[in-house]
Amino acid sequence: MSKAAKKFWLLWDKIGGLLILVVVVIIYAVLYPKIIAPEQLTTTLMRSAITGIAAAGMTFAICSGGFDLSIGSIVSLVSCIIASLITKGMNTWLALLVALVVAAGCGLINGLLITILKIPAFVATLATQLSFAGAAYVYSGSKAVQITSKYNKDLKILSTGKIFGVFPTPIIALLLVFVLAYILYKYTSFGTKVRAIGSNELAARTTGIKVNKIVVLVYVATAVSAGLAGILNTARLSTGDNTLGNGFELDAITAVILGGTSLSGGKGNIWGTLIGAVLVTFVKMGLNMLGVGEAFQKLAVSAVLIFALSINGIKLIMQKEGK
Amino acid sequence: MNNKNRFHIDYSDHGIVYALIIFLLILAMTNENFRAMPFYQNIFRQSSFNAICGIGMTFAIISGNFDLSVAAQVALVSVTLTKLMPVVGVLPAILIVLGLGVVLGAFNGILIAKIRIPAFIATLATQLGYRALAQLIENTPIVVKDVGFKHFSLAKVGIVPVPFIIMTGIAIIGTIILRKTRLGRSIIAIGNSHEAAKISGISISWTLIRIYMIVGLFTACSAIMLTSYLGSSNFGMQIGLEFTVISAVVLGGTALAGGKGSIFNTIVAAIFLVTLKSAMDTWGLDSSWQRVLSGVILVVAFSITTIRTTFNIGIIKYRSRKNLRKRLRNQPGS
Amino acid sequence: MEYIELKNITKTFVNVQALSDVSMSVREGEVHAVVGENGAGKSTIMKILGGMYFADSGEIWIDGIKRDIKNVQDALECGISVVYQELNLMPDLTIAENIYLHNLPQKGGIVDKKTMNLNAQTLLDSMDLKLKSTELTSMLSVSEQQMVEIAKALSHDSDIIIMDEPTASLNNNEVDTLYRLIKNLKKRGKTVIYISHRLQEIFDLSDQVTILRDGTYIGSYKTNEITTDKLVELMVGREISRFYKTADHVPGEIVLEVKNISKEGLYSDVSFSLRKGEILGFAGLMGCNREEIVKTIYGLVQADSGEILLNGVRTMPRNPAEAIRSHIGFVTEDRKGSGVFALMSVRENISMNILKLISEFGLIKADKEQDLLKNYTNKMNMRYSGYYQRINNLSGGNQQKFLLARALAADCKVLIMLEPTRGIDVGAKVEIYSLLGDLAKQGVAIIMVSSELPEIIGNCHRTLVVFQGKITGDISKKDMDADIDVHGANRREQLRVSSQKYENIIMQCATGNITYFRGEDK
Repeated sequence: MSKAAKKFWLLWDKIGGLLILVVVVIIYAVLYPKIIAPEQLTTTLMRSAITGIAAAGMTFAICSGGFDLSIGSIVSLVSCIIASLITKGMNTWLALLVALVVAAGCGLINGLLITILKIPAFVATLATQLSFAGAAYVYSGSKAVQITSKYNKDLKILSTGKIFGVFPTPIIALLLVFVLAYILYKYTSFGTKVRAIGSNELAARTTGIKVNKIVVLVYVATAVSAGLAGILNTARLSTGDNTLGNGFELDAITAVILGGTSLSGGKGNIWGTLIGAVLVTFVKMGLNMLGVGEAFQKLAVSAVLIFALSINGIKLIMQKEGK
Repeated sequence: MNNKNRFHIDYSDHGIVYALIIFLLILAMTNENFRAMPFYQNIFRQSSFNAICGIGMTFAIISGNFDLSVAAQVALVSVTLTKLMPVVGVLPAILIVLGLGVVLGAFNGILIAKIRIPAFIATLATQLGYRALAQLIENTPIVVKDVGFKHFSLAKVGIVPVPFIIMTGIAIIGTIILRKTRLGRSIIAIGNSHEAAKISGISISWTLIRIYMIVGLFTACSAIMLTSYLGSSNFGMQIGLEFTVISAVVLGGTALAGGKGSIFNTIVAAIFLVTLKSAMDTWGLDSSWQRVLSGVILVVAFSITTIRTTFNIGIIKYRSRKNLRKRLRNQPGS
Repeated sequence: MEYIELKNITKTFVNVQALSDVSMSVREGEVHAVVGENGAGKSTIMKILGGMYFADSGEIWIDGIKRDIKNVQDALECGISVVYQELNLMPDLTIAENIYLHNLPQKGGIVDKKTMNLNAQTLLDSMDLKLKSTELTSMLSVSEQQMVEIAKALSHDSDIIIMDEPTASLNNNEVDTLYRLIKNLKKRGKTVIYISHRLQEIFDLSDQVTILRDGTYIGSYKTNEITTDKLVELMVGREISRFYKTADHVPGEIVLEVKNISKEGLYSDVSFSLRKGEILGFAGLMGCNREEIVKTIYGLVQADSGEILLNGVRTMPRNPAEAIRSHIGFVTEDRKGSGVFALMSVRENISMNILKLISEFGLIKADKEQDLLKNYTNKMNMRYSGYYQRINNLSGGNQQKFLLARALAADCKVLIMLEPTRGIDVGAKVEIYSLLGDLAKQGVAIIMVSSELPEIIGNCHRTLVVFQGKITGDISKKDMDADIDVHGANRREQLRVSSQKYENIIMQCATGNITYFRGEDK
């Protein structure tokens, strides 16, 4: 690849997602100015917190060379557990804690399947996606559980509450999670080891680091972040629904890829994931406001994903040819 | 050199065949429902739909790829078929949607081969897209009015259900393609080593595209038969099919990494999975438990290789230690 | 008891007995070489010492204490670090991160990047490497990566350092650096265990050499008390009369002409010609891109400009399929990764290049395939147990023969081989040289790209030397041997001198110091 091309791709990796976001915002602003009204933007940011937090965890999973298809089911499971516990009278915060512990347990299962039984990540999480969804169903039955105003006072803090009276809770949560993720990724030995495993797992093993331990931690982290996302989503809807997370993993994966994280592992972009999550949410909400049906929205997200991947693919081709 | 060794090295081992036989025997012994002819006819009929799709998927997995969009393809093909049939007639509609299947497959193939998007992500994305298209074409279930069409999947030749016969025919064609043609050889070669295949003059991108076209074609066949069986189409049908089909292929011994595999085993595995489902239904497990159980079975299926390898290594270690001890005992003053 | 004692080590993999009852000892502070053919067990026993594998039975004693080495961590704690043959680097991490991954300097949970980078840089500087510790490993050349591997092992400052084929990818300067490092380690009292196929290095560096063969211990000698021939004999288990068959026939007319081909970033203005029956060597340092030049002839690389003439006809293969049709054959240097189809049978492997030729209406004819296999099995003395045997059950040497047969099956007139005997034991090497010699006599033009100078000097009529993508040398063997009196009494000595001269000129051209164009007269 020529020097100019190399420079272009480096730049793209850094700000490509941001560029696309800006372009999309402009397009929407032209088509339907209401979309960029400050209130609407805030709502979009709040919604993107849900995808974003889960995507933050997914970034680690993808960075380690694997990924997690079960996060949608974890979101469903978490929401069912919260709804059921709260409506049975348990203290809200305790219920949330229980839900997070369950999510961590799901992550543990994923991690163990992948490390001990050596099942490829995609297969293992495809299987657990099914099992966790089934578990959610078993737990709550087929009806969604409404968390009525009698119980949802504490929960409402998470959805409509404002910290210091100004900043909506979801957005603060989103920023906190991403700052934490960034620190973990860039500055801790955990982050470096995750990148090492994604880059060359065999070499990482030879170096003597405990690969299995790190991988399990990665999947627990992914599951916990999915659990957090599930909590926020349940708070938003005040409902426990076992189909809540359907298709969720695709949004998260799209966000991560748009953000510049490489699918093969080793190279991650945490802030890029944040931008990717905002972008995906923005696209969906925008289409919603334009009166576009659910089917088209899904089509649009898939188109965005294909677009992002094509760019990745073109870069790969250029790298290979130019060698 | 052993000329008599005509019948091959293990293309993949046939554990699944034994598993199925044992499973059927156990079922037959425990419950009289499992001894009736209709039960088996039903199983063979039902498994045909997945098996045909599985034949196509076997090609993909042997080459080291796979296709997560087959469920969506079935939905799209089925909806299109039911929409077209009243307009152009049964046979033309069938031919058109077969072509559609090829096109859907080709699109996947191009994304993967020419634009170099990794298979799982590309098909994850097209899965979304195809299903959305199906929904756009028709939002509500469509019922098939043509009686002849509905009937053929329920028909039998003698005691054998028609779908099973069709499936067998397709399996034979598939096996011939895989084992005896240049295309099949190239597919297996790519699954072994991309680079080596390239050096041998194989066109990787062209072969990949053809693989996905095969998947698309066979999936469309499966969709047509399924539509006949169900008598209707629905954009949300067959969700999770990709999972069942890939399970069947892997359960049958074709490794996800590619390089070797067997169509026969895939079919046996498909039958096994359908038998399992029927058994679970008969035992009265509700669908959520079935999902949990399916997940567990999948996990076991995939860890069989690991378990067996560990078991084999254990046996060999034991044997070698026995030998060593024997040898040491026989040596003077060791 | 010596410093390091390995007692009765046995290790079996699924079907293969890698080590049987091997015992050996290493003295403290010495440079101890371990030699043997491929499959002799050298790498295996070192991996056991290094904690990568766990022995089935046997004991490891270090400094008088019995040790239990179950993993890499244990080995490190016993003071053992290993430089492996296969690169174990993480391309997306920086050099510093790679070196210190196992032991990242931390301040309260956060990685102390400053200290890490500084320490790494000090290490790199002490090895005379012009690298920045903050560079991404993926940006390095293969030889630079190998040096980083060595730096990694040195960073532990272990008492025992094991090196498995460390010079495999190094250029001359780096080999010198390595020699210096090893001598330095010895001075500081460290113990070095050194595995290599390159016998010259063994004699340059080591004090003691241990020979393994077929997983058993053969013997251990002081290096200055054993000759090369005896060493080879012990490695192979039989007498080897002539290692290299010098090409002694005269090449015919020109079959291949490469005229001024260039590719940006890889090579520029490359021209040469190749004659029928000629064996042409391509020498050069790592990264000089000679592989890319020959790959262009086979269609794996597309030149930006210039032309290639095959028998006078302009031929620029756009892909290997076209090259195969033009009767050009290619054998890769990476047998495992891009050579054999590991899970496929021997029969399927041999016919892969000519599927079109042996099929009718798209269906492959089994009998034609079988004939092909039988034909080459006899010609090349290939050893396997059945038509349908999986190829990765064969030895490296046999696999290489299959790759050669596959290329030849397309009736090739020009054969390109990269590293024809890499990772192959001595016995098989001889067979392959003999095969190549026979092929050349039958008129096949052969291009041999190799990093083993003795191989090139011993086999090729002519050698082209590449430096940074340009041809800097065209040396004919005849020219080198011109002064040798064939019937003289000290013929052997003269041969040795002329080989040395040949080697020197090649190295000078390869490092860009001189150019030398006195090839065969055209």
